[in-house]
Amino acid sequence: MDPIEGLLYGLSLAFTYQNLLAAFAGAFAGTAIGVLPGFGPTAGLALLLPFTFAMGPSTGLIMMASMLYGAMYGGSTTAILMNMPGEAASVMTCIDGYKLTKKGRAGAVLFIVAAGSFIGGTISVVGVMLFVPTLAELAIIFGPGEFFALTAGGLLLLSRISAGTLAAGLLPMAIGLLLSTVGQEAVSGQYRFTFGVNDLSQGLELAVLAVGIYGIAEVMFVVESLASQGKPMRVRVREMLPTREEIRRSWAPIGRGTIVGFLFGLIPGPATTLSTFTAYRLEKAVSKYKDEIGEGAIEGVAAPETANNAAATSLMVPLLGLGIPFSSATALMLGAMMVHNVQPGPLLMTIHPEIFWAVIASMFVGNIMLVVINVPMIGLWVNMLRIPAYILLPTILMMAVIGSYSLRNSMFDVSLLLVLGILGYVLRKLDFQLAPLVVGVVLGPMIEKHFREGLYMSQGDLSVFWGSPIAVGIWSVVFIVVALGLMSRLWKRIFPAGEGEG
Amino acid sequence: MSVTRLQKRKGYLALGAGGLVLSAGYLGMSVQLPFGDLARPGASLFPIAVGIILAFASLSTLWEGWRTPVAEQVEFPAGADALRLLVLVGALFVYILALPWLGQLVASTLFLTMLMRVLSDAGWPRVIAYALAVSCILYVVFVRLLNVPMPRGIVDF
Amino acid sequence: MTFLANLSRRGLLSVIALLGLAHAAHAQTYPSREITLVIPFGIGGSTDIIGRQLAGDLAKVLGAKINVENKPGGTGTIGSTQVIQSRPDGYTIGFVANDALVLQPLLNPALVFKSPDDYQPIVKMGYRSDVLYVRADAPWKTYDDFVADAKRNPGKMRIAIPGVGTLGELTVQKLNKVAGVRMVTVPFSGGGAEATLAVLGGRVEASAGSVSVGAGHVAAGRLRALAVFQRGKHAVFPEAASIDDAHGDVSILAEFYLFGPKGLPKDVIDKLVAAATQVGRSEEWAAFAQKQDFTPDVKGPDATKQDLLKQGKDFAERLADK
Repeated sequence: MDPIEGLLYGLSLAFTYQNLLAAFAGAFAGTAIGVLPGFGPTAGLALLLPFTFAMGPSTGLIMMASMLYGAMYGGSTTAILMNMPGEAASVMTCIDGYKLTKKGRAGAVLFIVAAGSFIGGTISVVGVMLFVPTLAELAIIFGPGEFFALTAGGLLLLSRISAGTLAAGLLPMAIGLLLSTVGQEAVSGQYRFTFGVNDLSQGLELAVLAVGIYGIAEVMFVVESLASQGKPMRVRVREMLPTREEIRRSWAPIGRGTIVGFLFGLIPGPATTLSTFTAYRLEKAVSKYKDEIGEGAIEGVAAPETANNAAATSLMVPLLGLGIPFSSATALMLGAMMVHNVQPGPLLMTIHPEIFWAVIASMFVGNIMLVVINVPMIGLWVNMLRIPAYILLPTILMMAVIGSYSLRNSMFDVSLLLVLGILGYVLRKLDFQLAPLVVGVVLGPMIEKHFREGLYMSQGDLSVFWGSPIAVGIWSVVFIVVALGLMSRLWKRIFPAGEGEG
Repeated sequence: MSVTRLQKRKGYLALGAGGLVLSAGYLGMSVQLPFGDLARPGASLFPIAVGIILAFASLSTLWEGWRTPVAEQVEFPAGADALRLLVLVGALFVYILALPWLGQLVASTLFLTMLMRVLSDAGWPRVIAYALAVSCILYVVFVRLLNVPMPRGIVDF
Repeated sequence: MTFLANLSRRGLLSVIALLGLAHAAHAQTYPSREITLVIPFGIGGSTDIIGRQLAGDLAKVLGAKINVENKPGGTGTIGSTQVIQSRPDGYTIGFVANDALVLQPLLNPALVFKSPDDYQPIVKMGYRSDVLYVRADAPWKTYDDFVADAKRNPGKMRIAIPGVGTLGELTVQKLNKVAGVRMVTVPFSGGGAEATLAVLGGRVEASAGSVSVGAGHVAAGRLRALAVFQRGKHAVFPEAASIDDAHGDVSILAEFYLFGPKGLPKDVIDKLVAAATQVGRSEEWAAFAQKQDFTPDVKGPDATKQDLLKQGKDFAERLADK
């Protein structure tokens, strides 16, 4: 089957009354689940998976894909409206998204996010459709050496993810790295810094961390200033639609986000989260409006949100092409296929073309459903901000507790929520940045794993970390960005204010 | 809003010093883990690197704190604002403690009632009605419809 | 639409429950809510593939939802510890292989479990043997070529295995000894899928992994199955050499168990044993097992415990012999 023929065949599978209904139900459930802080796409898919057993493979996959996109969008909604990231992949969205909400642009941001997600997702599907076998090769050439370069180099760049002094980014990042080492380490199973506490041996749950330091801390901020603002928590709700200016400024970030997300989905690792970090950092480096990013610029939301949808889509490439899922979400899709005795792999397209094209079609349908369900709901979401604070805040807290508890049925995690909330509150009061802390927790374990496994592989030869063209390429990019950053600062010091343009 | 002002530099200095102490303790624990060798690297390698990064970050915090002018201040709430914040933290704490005993539905309703009452001047009947409505809606949507597992407690719903 | 039907029925039920009219609707017979099956290995690895099938089949027999939760890391000990420390109510159980349950406690004295006395073996589901894969364009056409090359170049052959302190490590150690070679093991804590990527990418010379992680690539002409870690011909790769036929008892079979925390109520154990036994003896399971090169060998809790104890002794001897 050639791609067009295949796609038409896939769409003919998708556009039945039953499958569209499944897509609608999936996207709806996904959005609801995503809104629950701490509950992301993976947890949502896990809840949904058993329902799909009773369905045909294509119906099940279509429902899951719709759910996946719905949940990612739902997670961003709370990040934008309440500074409460539903999961690690929405942390970057908080920074500018919430500031824009405070400026009364919540409706516009949600609209741009839906549009960006749709565009990123759809372009990514086309990429998946046309290039699965070729692109799958990219995953194969990424080994510990390349991955160490990517994660360690990424850490270097991300330590200065937004403005502020050196310490304001570095200290939170170091704290994040430290937190990531608590628990049983992955490579050889040693217990570290657990002080004999069993709950600590499983390490820190990322979503709990994000909800705690962002969401709980935010609620604390709002509560302390409740009386001083005339109308509590009253965020101005202006037009729901983005202005022409906002749309114009979003095109380039959406384009860049699509590319970043698409590429990240192809390599092994937590692609959706990493792609948001990278997309945000990229905007900060190249956007025409880079000085506004961090203060509430549409670019800072459009790019990462587009990227995570593009990544969630291209994650299907290694799954379909190699039979290897790189994320928990794709693993659950794999589960849905295996229940029907379909084993993805290099021969999937030949042996089970109907499954391959059903997956492709499901991603198209999922992206469309995302828009169909969520654009009309923007008004509803934004109007949630009109709910009086004394009702909204306790409700948010309660949802944070439900979400954090149910991730791994742990009361310990819920208690952590409070501790992390206080930590986030203190750090924010002193003008420290929180995003580097999350970055440290995400990247720390990956850096360690790939460093140690790389050395095992090379038998102690350190050159494994810069020995391949890809690793050299990554290090060069890191070096150039760091050097440019230093030079521009030097430039500004020599020619202060105004003259330093360029 | 009544506030207590603290010198920002004091906050930085305190945080930097705390970080330094933490990194020392952390490094002390790290070196006791197996180091392995370069061909079979052990569990202590990465924590040692992290400890050094934390020490460096703490030093740079101290340095920046030192250079921060005394005039720069951070506002912390005082009076009624501080009280409200403390009540929030306290209520959350009690909620978390009570959750496994009372179960999700009951504990949540009590938590919502208490916090709504403190955060507003609405009367009890209204507060209780809102609290019941919110916790029931969330319960039905998430626990029932979407099967999100929650502690049941002694009152099994 | 079963899902929607389910949704609305559940919704209605809960409304009734909330009104306090149907409080008794939840009879407390096991299972009355969803069960979490912890798989302490990465997604897409062989334990995962078998475990997910088991979860699906068990769910049908028990009539309850089973959520699969992957908890990789620490060669399966992180997830196993989670199971062992969970509340013994039957709603958290695990599916694990003997490397995590038997070998790891010998290597890591800090683990909370040391012997089958510290957890509840439920059912042994079966076993399988590993395969030695090389890239299809590798210079070694046969296992003999491979060993001969390994002899000439001590320390050159790197074999990717799924993690430090796995059975692959013990097996390669013994192979090194009896065949008079020195091959190096390279651990990938992400499990068999990562090890397969490493050999596909040519970063290591070979990988020792399950049939399921490699068979697709062999069929696509990208990998070659050089040898199998077992005695006699292999059902899926009959052309591959048998390592045990060549060198004597080297291989350790990977065995899979359903287990739970210590102190499970007797009725819960009985239910799970009955359900897992029914699944393990079904024809669907046999067909699935054949495809995944997995030999069903269903044993109840007591026989499973004896198995585990015996293996513990064997592994301890190998370790002492190092």
